Amino acid sequence: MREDALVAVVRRMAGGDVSALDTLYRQLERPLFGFIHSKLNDPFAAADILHEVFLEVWRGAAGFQDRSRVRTWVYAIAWRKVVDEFRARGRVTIQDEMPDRPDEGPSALELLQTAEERDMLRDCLGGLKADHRAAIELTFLEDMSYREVAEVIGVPEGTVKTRVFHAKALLLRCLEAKMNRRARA
Amino acid sequence: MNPAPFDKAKIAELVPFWVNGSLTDEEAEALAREFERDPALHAQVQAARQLRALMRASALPERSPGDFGLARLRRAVAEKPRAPASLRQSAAAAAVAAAVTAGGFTLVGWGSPDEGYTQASGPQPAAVFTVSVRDAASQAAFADLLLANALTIVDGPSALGFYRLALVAEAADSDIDAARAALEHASDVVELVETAE
Repeated sequence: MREDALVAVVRRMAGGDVSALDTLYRQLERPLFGFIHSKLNDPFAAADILHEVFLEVWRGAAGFQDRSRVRTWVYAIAWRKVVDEFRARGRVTIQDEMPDRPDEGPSALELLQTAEERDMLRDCLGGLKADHRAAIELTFLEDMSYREVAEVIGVPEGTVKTRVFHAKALLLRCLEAKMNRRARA
Repeated sequence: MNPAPFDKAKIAELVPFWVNGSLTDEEAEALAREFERDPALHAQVQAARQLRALMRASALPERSPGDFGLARLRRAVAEKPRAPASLRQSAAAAAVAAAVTAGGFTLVGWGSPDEGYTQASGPQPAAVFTVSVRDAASQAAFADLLLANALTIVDGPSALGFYRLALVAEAADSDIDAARAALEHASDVVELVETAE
């Protein structure tokens, strides 16, 4: 659905049209759930947060400003709730090392074809800091611009670009290390 | 004249957004010029493209709540309907004004429809009317109406913008009819008057 159509849906919600909430839910529910679930790795908690996000969207529809895109606005609500959940769980960062070399080429990726190798990528993603992971997933899975990502996660645009760069480099290095270990085994 | 070339760090930071197609036209054109200047940059683009493709291929097909989630959402919305923003805002402000002006009542919270006022000197009086206030009515007009008729708010505004009103402790039961007549007469302020259940 195009942005202007999504804005129209939110306007209808602001006027109390519950069917518009259905429309927005059907548009955004799956990718939004995927986004939340990938951060929490807990489908029940993710479903609860998804529910809370749409309730907040419904209650806040009248306050939606055209300064944001609808998708960015909704994801920003989701991200805030995920961060709250992290805080409630006292989640700690697993991996926070910056790469010590510049961007890599595609060598490790060229070999990643099998299910086992895709599991490697998931492991590597799971090792990223939550804010690095959010930045690269919004960039590559949701195809958001760095301006939109900045709005969703509430940091400056420069920080987003840096986080995506580092997340990409960390993933490549992690994948390469896993591939090398497997080759030696 | 072409703008100054990007440095390597800036190029590396923009590549992911080149790959997902979200750069502005100006940024994309500038980056394209950099790729022409230095073909070695294509390796970065290729790496980012492959990583994006792999992330998409690796995303687990989680079972989202789907229709069950939507049904849950509908229930939640139906249980706590939302008042239009304008009414909600004016109604809340009017209630605050009325409570403060009337004295003897303490505002204990607006977070939940179950919360309201507690009388400083004891339990709150029983509600005798349920009313809704017109969008266009001012806070002052609503507060004046309550004060003039020995009424006070004991609950609300609800999610639909309804208030439950009681007679102040000093008022006599016989004042109920007069208060009702006054509320009904003030049709520019009060939209609906019902006997409270």
